Amino acid sequence: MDVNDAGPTAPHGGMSDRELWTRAVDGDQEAFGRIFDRHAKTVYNHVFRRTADWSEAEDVTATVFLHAWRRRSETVLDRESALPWLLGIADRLLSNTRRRLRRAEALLYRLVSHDEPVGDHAERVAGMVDDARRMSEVHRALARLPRHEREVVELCVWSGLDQQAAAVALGVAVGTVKSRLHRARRRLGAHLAGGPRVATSSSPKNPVSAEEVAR
Amino acid sequence: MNGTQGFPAPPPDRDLPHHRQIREDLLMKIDPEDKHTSLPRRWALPLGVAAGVAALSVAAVAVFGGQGADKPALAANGANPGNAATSPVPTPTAARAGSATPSARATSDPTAAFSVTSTGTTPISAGAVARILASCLGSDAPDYHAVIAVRTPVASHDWDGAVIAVDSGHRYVQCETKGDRGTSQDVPPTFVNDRLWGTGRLIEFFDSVGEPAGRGRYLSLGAGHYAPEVAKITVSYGDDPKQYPAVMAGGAFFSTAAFSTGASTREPFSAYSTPYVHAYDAAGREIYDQQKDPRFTGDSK
Repeated sequence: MDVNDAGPTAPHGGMSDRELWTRAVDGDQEAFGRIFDRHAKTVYNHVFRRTADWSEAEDVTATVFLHAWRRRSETVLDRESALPWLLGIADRLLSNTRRRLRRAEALLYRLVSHDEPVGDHAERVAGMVDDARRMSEVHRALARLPRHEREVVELCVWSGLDQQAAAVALGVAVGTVKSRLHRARRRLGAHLAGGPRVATSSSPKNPVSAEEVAR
Repeated sequence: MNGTQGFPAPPPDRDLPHHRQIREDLLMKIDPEDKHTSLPRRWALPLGVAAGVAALSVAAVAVFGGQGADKPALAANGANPGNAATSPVPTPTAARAGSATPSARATSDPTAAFSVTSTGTTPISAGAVARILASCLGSDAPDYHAVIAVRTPVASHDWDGAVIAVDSGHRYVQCETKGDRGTSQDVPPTFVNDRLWGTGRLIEFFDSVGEPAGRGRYLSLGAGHYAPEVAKITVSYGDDPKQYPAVMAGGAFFSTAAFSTGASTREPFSAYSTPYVHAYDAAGREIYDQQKDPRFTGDSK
């Protein structure tokens, strides 16, 4: 199946997440399906950025929504969005030991050898493998940040949540998100000064020094 | 997404493959009648994991702009820890707040109200401190001596106190305690030291954490260090202007509070009980207000 056969992304009749979620709480599966349409891609990419593994991201994305359904009556919406809560579920699921070990093994493999087969050599698959390599490099660049600071980077910088939404996702105060982000930036600068070179998505063919990207 | 905020940028987003198929499978799996899900039954494993994550991630240093207190109301506990920076002796300090008068956040949402039930601390024995540092710092432990070692007013699942220690190079570490074991939020645990300290700084923060401490209760704790001109450090929580003295010793400070979390279960408690650190000079003049610190107000790059 086409890897880009994403579902609808257009607004759903202007209905907010809160309205859809209210219907879902009452058992409306289609309303929940619309929530899925709206946020599945973001969850998927967030999980990939945490795992550097597109396959696991796909697997976890489905699981996130399954758990979200089962916990829908306890949802904490941030303003009108369910996304922070969904990403929070994803983060907790990713902390599952089994998954973490599996991910670590996969990451180790990629760090040791970047010679993974590209399957059928399809351009898209090759691109995904390349993404995984690049994400692994990013992980290495951030490896020395404490986990709670990496989480803020993942949510605020990479997944685009504002600080209030990230606070909801993590279950912490907004000020905590601010301070973690501040400290992560400073730590990263300290760690990476003169350190390894990392590629960025804006210039994947032209790696820049860690010091440059940390500026 | 901004990849230029000082962090390396990840690869561009991709669409979820098999979106429709996953959606259909999902809608087939979900049961409209299971909305009264038993938490232990459905979430035993994930929540067990989540509890550990929350324990490490729920925190509360920090702070950003907001309303300050022109005339701060100090908690009526009579405790003024003073500036112990000149006596960096490993003397666990007890800053008893006792049963502070419950103070509720001024809010239109009655479910969000909370009260500080205690900020009192008790010293940790020297023997326990040694074991805590050993378990927290490993082979680095002998290089550090405790300047603050106290138990929090209540115990949560993961924490019941903290030990702040410093080495001969004035590098600090912060270990949360649970019994005689110490753990650190930092990797490596010796990371919290003078690297974050800058010239002209009055206050700098180590780690601040918090987590539920039983039904309807919450524990918050945090630490940092301060410049010699700081004579007193206090902490206020959320929108409540009442300030509670922090424990100060050896150039480090430590604050903790036990909360009654009120009736709200819809919002992370820590979201509205954020600690705000205030510092005063010997004349009693406020010389630092974390709510106005540009590092936390978003005015700083």
